[in-house]
Amino acid sequence: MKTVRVTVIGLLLVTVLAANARTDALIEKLRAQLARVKDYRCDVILNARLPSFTVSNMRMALYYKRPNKLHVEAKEGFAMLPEEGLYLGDPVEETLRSYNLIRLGDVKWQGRAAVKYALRPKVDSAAPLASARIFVDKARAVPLGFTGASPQFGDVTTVFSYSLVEKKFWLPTKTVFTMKYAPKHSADGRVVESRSGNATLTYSNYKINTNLPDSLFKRPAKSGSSAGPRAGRQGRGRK
Amino acid sequence: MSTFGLFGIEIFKQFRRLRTHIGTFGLLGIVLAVAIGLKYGDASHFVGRLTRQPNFQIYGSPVNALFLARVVLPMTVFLFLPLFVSLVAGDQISGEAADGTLRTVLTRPVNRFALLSAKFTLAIVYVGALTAFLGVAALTVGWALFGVGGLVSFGWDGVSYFGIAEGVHRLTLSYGLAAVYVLAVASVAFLVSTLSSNSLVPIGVTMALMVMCGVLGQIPYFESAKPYLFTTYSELFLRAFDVPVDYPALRHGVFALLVYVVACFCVSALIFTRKDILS
Amino acid sequence: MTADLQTTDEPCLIAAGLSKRFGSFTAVDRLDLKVDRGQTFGFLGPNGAGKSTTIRMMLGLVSPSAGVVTLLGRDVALERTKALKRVGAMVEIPAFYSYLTGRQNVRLFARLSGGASEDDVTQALKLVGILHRADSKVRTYSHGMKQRLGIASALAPRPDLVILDEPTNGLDPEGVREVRDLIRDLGTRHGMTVFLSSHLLHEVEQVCSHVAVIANGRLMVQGAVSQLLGNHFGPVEFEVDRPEEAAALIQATMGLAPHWTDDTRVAIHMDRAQAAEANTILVGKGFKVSAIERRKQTLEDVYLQLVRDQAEVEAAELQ
Ligand SMILES: Nc1ncnc2c1ncn2[C@@H]1O[C@H](COP(=O)(O)OP(=O)(O)O)[C@@H](O)[C@H]1O
Ligand SMILES: [Mg+2]
Repeated sequence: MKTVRVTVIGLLLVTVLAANARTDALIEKLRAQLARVKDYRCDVILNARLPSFTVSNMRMALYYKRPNKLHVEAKEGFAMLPEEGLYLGDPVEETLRSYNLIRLGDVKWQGRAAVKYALRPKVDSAAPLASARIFVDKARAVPLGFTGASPQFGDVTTVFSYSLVEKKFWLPTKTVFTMKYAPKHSADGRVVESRSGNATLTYSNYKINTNLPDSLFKRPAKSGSSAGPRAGRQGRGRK
Repeated sequence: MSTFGLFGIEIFKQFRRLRTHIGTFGLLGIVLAVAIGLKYGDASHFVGRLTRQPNFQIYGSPVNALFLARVVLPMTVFLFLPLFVSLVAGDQISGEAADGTLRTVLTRPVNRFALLSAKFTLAIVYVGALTAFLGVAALTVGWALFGVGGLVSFGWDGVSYFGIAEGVHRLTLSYGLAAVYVLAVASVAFLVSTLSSNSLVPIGVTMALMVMCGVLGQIPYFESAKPYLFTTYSELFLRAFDVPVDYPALRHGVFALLVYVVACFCVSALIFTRKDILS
Repeated sequence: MTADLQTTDEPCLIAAGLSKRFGSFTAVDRLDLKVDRGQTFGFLGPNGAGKSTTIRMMLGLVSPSAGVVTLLGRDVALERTKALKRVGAMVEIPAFYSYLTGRQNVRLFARLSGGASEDDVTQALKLVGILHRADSKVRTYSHGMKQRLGIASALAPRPDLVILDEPTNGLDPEGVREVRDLIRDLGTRHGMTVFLSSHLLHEVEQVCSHVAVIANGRLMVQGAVSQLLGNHFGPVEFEVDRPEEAAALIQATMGLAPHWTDDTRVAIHMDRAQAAEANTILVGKGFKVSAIERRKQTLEDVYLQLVRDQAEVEAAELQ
């Protein structure tokens, strides 16, 4: 399902801001900020209106433990999340394996002073999206969002809102993805397909660095009530 | 005797009749069958579509009380609910005519219109009660077997998820819309029942009409007649799961169905208040 | 008081020019009936005469093709529910809710009539002799029991006027006798006006004070039973040793044809004086007359006579 994949890629893009930016002070600051968060739990509510997939108030509890452990609990019996999209812990190192960052300059974005970077896939990577831009908040050193465009997937924009959690950690309170597809036209110029969508994640109740036990992240073997071949896999179970 | 008093008597009688409970047992059977199928069988028929969404992680299970209530509705709205409801609504006058009790009733100082109103009210209440029973049975059985959770709804254009509160709200709306459609069917059966003194006739005629209108609605030539066929609105209940809900469309559908209901009642009244009781 | 007197004087039931056509078939033809308060009125006619159709019209089940019915001073066509307030009725084979008990049925129908006390319900069930089965489902009742239940449910609300359509239909001889006694009591003991249809002459004769005879939808005769019988002399029966010869003798001497003869008797229509004369003649000719008897005229005789007359009239009309 391409539309869904686009969302995933959108989420993915957010995570690549630190790629190949080891020399960039802002990116280093951002990575240092992320590293202070050893683990956390938070409540997440997903609302989405995507072509062929709509979600209203999907409630989850999210557990993260550095470097890459993730655990999701469906608070109302069922939850469904993009497999690769929620790089909520520290996506930086992994992303840097696929992308290089190129600083483009200072801009004003979403009402804040930001630095704009271009995302360049590494030659050997399978990064699916080109011509993507990342915006990093200059003052807070957090990703503000990204834009991307692809003839295949349309225009994608992600915007993050933050709050200062426990007076120390800038963590997202809200993530809004929007996607806008160029309408497809038939030969006589009629719009055959015009699809767009959005998804909003709302975070709350962060508990940071509470030393979550590793056992929490061991998902039981495929349970009977989970359906389908994908069910039961670890969220970040990529090779 | 007032319509209200007569309604009390009608309820009293109806509750003691076997056919009143055929619907409840039938629906309960369907709910249990579906629930057992989901519990012990391969749920992938329902859930498989979820897994066709690539790159998604599934946590927990979409199979729960709300889900059961959601899936049993389309399984019953098109045949079983109309059938069970016609069994009662179509029997209101014809059944009593066949048994001769209509004659006995009308030797009493009972206003015919009041009697008909009481019986029609009973049909309305029965439709509501039976539809509500289906929902409550599905929720209860689902709760016992699967627990409660958010609602996953498979529509023709994709998958929707609603949190518990929203899910209950959507289900309530959907069951309400289904009830209005079933009520329109019941009204047709009720109308036919004033014309017949064989209680099988209204059921047969109603089912035949449902099929006929359904077929007509499929033929492009009769496109212009479609808004006037009650079967056009048989899927109205599914639109309760649209995002966002198209309330004007729902209002329009409900209005069309209620026009059917009112028209059927008025024609029934015209027939029944003039009819010679010869049975 | 004045009002009471007025209503008391008014006929309980009036049918005026009552007709019912089913297509081209006329089931009831310009029927006029009048039943006064306190009468036990027999509505007599063979099967298919139009009795049930008439009763259906009286109760507003069927709308008349022409004519008016007034029950207890109210026009049924205009004020059906008011007209039926104080009426208890049973039309054809009484039908009940088979999934309810007899008592529940009586109670239910009494409620439709405005209610009856539990005592009245029990009393009515007792009166018709099915109290012992009152709490069984009607499904389990025999035809006769349903018939009795029909009467009970007509009586339970203590109506002023009771309309019963062939109430002894389907009863065993014992039941027939009981129901007849009961109906007689309704008038004499309970002060009800009773209108009952029947195809059985002796039933009407035994029970009713007044009678209307209907055949092919038309009224033949209407009046007090005693009066109707008085208008018709029965034959005088002579018990003699040689009935055939005696009959021939009377015919020869007095010009009176015998009504019938059998092994021991000859019956001849004649008045009192003629009977005395005939006796003298027979004895004079050596006949041994052992008894002379004027058989009481039965309604059956009247009835059969009327039906025969009607057939003749119709045959004549056809020509
Ligand atoms: N619905 C009907 N349609 C046509 N003819 C009818 C109908 N009901 C009764 N009749 C006819 O009317 C006549 C009178 O019937 P009914 O009143 O039942 O007679 P009764 O009660 O005296 O036996 C009968 O010849 C019967 O066949
Ligand atoms: Mg009859």
